Amino acid sequence: MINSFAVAIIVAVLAIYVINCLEKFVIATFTLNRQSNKSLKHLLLEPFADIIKFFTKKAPAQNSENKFLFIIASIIAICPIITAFCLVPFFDITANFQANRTAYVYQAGFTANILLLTGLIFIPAIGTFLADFSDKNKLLFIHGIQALTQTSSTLIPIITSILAVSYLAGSLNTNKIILAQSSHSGVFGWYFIPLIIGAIVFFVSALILLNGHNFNHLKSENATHPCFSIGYLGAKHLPFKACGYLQLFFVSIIFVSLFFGGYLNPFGTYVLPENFRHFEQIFWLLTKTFVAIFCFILINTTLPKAKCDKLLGVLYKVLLPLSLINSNVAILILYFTGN
Amino acid sequence: MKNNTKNKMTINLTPENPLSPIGFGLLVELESDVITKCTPQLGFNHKSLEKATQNRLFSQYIPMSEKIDYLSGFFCAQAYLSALEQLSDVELPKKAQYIRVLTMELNRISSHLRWLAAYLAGFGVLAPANLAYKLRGKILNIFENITGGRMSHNYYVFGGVRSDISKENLIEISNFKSDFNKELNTLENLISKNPVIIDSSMDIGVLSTQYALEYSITGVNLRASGLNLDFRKEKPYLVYNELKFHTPTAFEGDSYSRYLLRMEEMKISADLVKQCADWLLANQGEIFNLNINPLDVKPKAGRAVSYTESARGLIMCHLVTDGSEKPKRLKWRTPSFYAIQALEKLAPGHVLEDLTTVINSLDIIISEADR
Amino acid sequence: MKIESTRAFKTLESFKKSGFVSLLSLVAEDLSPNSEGEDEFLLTYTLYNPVTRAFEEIETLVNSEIQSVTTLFKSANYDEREIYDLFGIKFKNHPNLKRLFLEKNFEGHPLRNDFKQAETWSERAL
Repeated sequence: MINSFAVAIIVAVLAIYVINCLEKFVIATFTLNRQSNKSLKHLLLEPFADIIKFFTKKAPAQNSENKFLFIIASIIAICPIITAFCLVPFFDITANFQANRTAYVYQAGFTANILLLTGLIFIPAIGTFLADFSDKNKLLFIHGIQALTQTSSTLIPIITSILAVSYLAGSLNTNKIILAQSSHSGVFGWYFIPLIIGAIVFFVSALILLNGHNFNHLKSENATHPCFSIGYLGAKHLPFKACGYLQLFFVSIIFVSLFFGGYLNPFGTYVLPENFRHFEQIFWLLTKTFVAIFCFILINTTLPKAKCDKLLGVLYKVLLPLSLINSNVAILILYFTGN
Repeated sequence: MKNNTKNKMTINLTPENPLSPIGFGLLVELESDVITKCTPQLGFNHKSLEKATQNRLFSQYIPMSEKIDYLSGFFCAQAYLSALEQLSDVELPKKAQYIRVLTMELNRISSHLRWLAAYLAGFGVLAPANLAYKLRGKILNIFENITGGRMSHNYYVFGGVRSDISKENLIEISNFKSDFNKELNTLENLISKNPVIIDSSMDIGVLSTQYALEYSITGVNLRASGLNLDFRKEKPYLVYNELKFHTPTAFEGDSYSRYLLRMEEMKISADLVKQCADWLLANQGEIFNLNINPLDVKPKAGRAVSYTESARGLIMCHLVTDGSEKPKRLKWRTPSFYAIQALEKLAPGHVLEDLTTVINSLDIIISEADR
Repeated sequence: MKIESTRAFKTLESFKKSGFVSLLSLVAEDLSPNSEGEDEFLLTYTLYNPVTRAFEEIETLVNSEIQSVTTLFKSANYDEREIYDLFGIKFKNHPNLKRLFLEKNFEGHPLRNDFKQAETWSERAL
């Protein structure tokens, strides 16, 4: 148990580092900002400089309204989501049961583990709300309420599209969903073709979910260092920054496993021999995930932030009916293919 | 809505808060996300520039007058010197007048570009803001070639300007208009038809002509409400009655029309710059009036008022002299002072999210308002 | 045009009714001590008529108090607060006559002729 948690932390730190560099690179290139990508050395070494600065700088004393919530908010924001690394379907664990027993316990032991993964993604929203709640500044409190309504309302279309996929796949287990998409035709067996509406609904809701952490405040001049919670000075704001990146990572992994085949090969058959099949599956999953992350970051930084009431209007009046139509499409497909 | 009393909240936004507008505080009373009352708090940037005139010579005050509004240094210096030249009956040579108009119109463009970057950053779009700063950098490079400084120049003297513009600089300036129009078009294609920005700024901060005149608002904010008042044509100064330009107006009075109007003004200013540069290439003349000594200024006792149309509105400079070499009383009437006052009327009725849009669209510079 | 301070309000009201809707600026100047040894200030109102495009300047001499014109011109609110802050002239019937730029407990009015600047920082009344 302890070993897997340590591995999860190491993988989490690595993922945060890579996504941080990727975000800076994308933002710098597409917003014409020359500073951040002066050279590769600057880009890759800058997070280390930031970490050293945050941990050695002396932050002034905090004066928050409620000290208990102040401390526990950062814990809630980061700890549950790190454990989600154990649930991610990096490779096919049912293939070799004896060697992958621990992984099997975490992945296949929970039959409905995609719902658990989605739940773990939404826990940091509570953490950020408590962080805004415990501050003396009432403006942050209002922003906290707005952010919470926004992120928790995106849950409904996401869950309905996941359910539609589970009708076709026959199970809520991520591994089984991915295996249900494997066929000889490769790309054309993936679920983004019959459930195109569901893919679009999931993508748009994920954009709204991930948009909050950069722009939920009145003035945002530098998106690479979001300051959505000014009550946490110095190193104490790092859990919130990290949880934003991890949310991005897990949402794109879910998106890719549900609709784009997860670790499956687009050609249908595996290229490498039996012993190296795990590496090939990890490679395909990470490639697709990073393409999805790139799309999310690009769209979030180029488009302005819409007003809260318009976003909620889109969620409840457009995306929710579309996801219900999507479920009907899934049921009709089941009916006509004679299942 | 019943039970309104339970949802009331008062928020005090002091300027050191990173979420508040730059430079002045706001005391906002909310009723469940809708603003009911908004009182600005001034005085954080009070530098007592009016008291500082009493101990300085007339020519020593020119660099200080540029700090009234750091984004339009040329306009403030022109306002001060125009009042001084009225009192002393000094005529400027034609070339000096054209150089002054050229620098003032370039200053208008750079001030509007800075406003555009701040306005768009409030929406969250970063790439167009960086494009605007890039364009502004070109103009500041032109200023550096002419005067030696990017934002504080000390270029005007009593009776003219300090030095001449060389021929290469003039050719570069007259080629400025075509490149600028092309880049401004790319900016406009990115933003003007964007449905999110139109949604966030249309019908927000509507100012009618009657209220604008009661609150004594001038400049773009008044022209966007429907009244065509431009002090370059009302009380022409320098060579504005020889140049050809028109002043656009809009009729809705919301933030979107103010944004469109400022983009139009930038194009008109670029055209004026080209007209001035063409005249300067074709004609010769003196740079300052040779009959006076710009360092030894002793105007006769009296009062004078000067009207200047700056990037934000009308700047009036009231000058009272008593025959000595130091001024007796100098009063600046600046446009941002009245724009902040109009916030008490504009902000109520909007959702809290729209507050930055309203404040940014009025183009408030706190250094002007507090002096 | 010069008028007396007691008739200033009525004159401005008649100007406003005839179309001078906008008060562009309100300037104060310290002329003390006058011939009787009292404080005297000169107020200048600049009005603008958007229909006939006319400007009008009205001057009054004030000793210490004058009727406020906030009910006629809304922009006079901050103007009069600034003049009270820097000169000490009181405006009757002003809705909120408080200091605008300086701190609440600042003593003195800086732009007066008899204002003594403190020599060192510790002498300044905070």
